[in-house]
Amino acid sequence: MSATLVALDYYLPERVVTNDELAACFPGQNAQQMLRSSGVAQRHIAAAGEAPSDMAWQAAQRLFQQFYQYGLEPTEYIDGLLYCSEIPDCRAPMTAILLHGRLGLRSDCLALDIPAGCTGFMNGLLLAKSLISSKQLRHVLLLTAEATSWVVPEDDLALRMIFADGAAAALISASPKDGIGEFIFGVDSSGAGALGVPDSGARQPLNQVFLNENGEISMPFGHLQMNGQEVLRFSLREVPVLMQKVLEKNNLEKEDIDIFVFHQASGFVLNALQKKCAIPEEKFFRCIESTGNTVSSTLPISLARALSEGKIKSGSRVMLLGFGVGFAWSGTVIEWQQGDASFSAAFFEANLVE
Amino acid sequence: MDINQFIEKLEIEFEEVESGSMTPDTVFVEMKEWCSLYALIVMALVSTEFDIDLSGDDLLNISTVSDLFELIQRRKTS
Repeated sequence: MSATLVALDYYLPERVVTNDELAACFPGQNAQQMLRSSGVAQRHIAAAGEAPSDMAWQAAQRLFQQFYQYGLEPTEYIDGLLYCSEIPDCRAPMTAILLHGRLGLRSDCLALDIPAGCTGFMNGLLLAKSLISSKQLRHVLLLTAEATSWVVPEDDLALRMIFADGAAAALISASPKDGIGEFIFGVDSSGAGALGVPDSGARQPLNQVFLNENGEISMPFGHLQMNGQEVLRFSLREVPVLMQKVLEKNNLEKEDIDIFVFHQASGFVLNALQKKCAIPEEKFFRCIESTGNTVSSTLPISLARALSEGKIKSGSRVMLLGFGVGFAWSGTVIEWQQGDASFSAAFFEANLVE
Repeated sequence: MDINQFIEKLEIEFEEVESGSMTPDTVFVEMKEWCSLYALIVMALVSTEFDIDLSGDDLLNISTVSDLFELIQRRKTS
């Protein structure tokens, strides 16, 4: 059995923080400088109390809406839910279980959390494809949601410029034709200290020293730390190799790819990667300027944006590369088989039979 | 690429720096425009042009443009 990505949608929180607004908090900075160094002009930020799972629920509702308008009820058919977020609702049960209930999915359904950060969407896609190919599941809902603003201190301009909140939903279904290609993935745990939220778990819980030092900043989920130089070095070292290996594993040449969608890490990292990978401007997708780095949601948001902008059409070959926190990386090529929502609905309906 | 061509590329990447203002003896950290972003720009330029991975320590151990260019030549041949 083959698998394909059937439909996508996303949710961005209502509150938008522009560079002008940020600049007002940091004397000596200006909006233009911020855009140049981060590639981000504005970012959406979750409201107080708006948990990542709330954003995931919103993204799922938007995805379902694509089917409701054609009289289809996807919740009756979804038999797998994969949820990717760095901030779960609670230690137990898994947030996927809680979302399963809130979304009203059927009871004979697999529900799993995969807190994988920047490579989360790729890992979810790989798991969904594998579970469908092995005939365990037929319709997998993959949700990604991040409220990175919750772990970014107010006084850290570099992080506030880049990171943003948001969620995305994707439906991956059994299909007669394979729409998701072969994967290449890897990890390098020597990068664990370069990007992450230390002192936030069993090894070292959020501690009194941290609370004393950061008492004025209310950050109960920890404090994101990033070494920008190490993240850039990692990206420039691994991503071009990843791209080449993904092409080779899928028996494709670079020219066969219609559009390259990379994790929207930062404008600076994207520009350097585009140059090093020698990808023409018209084939290199960017949406970081208006959405920021939404971690596991950047890839599905980019895909949804590229679809709505007509940059991905029926039959388009899209290279998807995820990379970041870990360090970890993962890539594949998808072939978009649907045209628009009506095609997705018709496709979904035609593949409902067991 | 000779050092003059390398300097031209640096001046293009350092948007605020006037063309023709840098020399092989320019000390990076003494440039009035120098900031943390410039260190990233140098790392990215050296990676994309020469496929050489410079560390933060590499940058701390050099002072001038010519030091950097010599380091690149050594890495290329090693």
